[in-house]
Amino acid sequence: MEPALDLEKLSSTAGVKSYYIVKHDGSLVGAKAEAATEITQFLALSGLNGEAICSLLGHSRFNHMILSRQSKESILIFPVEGHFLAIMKEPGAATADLIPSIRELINGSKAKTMD
Amino acid sequence: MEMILEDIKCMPGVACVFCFDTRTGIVAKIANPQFSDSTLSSVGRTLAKIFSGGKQLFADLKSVQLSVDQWSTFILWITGTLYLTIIHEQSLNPNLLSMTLAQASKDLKAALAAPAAELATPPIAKPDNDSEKVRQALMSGPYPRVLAAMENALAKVMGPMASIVFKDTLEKWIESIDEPNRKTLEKFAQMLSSEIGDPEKIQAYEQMIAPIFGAK
Repeated sequence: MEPALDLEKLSSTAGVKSYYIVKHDGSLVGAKAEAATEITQFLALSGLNGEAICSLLGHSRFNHMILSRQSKESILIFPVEGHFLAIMKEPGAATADLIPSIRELINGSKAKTMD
Repeated sequence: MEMILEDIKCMPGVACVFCFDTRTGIVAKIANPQFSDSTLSSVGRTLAKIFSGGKQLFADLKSVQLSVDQWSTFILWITGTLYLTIIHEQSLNPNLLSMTLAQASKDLKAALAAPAAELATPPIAKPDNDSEKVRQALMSGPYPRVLAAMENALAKVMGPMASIVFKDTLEKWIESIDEPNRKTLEKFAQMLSSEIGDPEKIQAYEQMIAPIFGAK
């Protein structure tokens, strides 16, 4: 089942250029922009490898992953209800500001699911 | 190299810093005792896997950072198959980290380029033209058919992620061999099996590719 994220709010969050929600098998369940299969597969694989590192460090899940790029269009990956949410950041946005905004949205969706 | 790592380790909040080579493992490290070599090696290898997969899609990829509870792990590509990896507390000043790593990366590149450097430089398995020779050989004879069958079998057990895993593992395998033959192909099959992770799926994969080797 697709995570109960407020996609409209996510889409309009300052600093979000585009987003992708992918299942653990790499299939796309939601996106703001078109994505090649290679990209969605890579996002899922990165998330799964992130979880593998968590388990090596004695934890069950990671908070987020940042793939920093020279172009400043960094990619942020968050685990969300059995899926991975990947955010393509606007080049001018600050990663440190964007992460709490996205985290707040994810926590809001969790609260909605529990209601 | 140790001195460069010392400079990073002395930042408050850095628990571990190590240079990781995807072919030879940990080249140098300074770590708190809570991190075993085997844990660090697995963390380094997994981060390098994320980085190399990302680099294929985003050529300007600089680093990968993973935030886990109180820790953050960070990997930065230095050169060739060498990466700098750090495990630090979340409280570490990101600007201090970023500037220190930029400098460390420059220093490491310079040190590796210096002919008389007293470095634990990872041994180079073989020149690039050997890999090129292997690539050429793989384009003829039974190899295209065999590799396609191995990739198809992998897709059946791993789903859509198989193509990325296959390409990534194929590159590592090509770099590690002198020539493709039955023995080295079996090594490639083992490398792919170890990427699957699930014992039942590994068994299914090995059953699927057994006839390929039998028929070759």
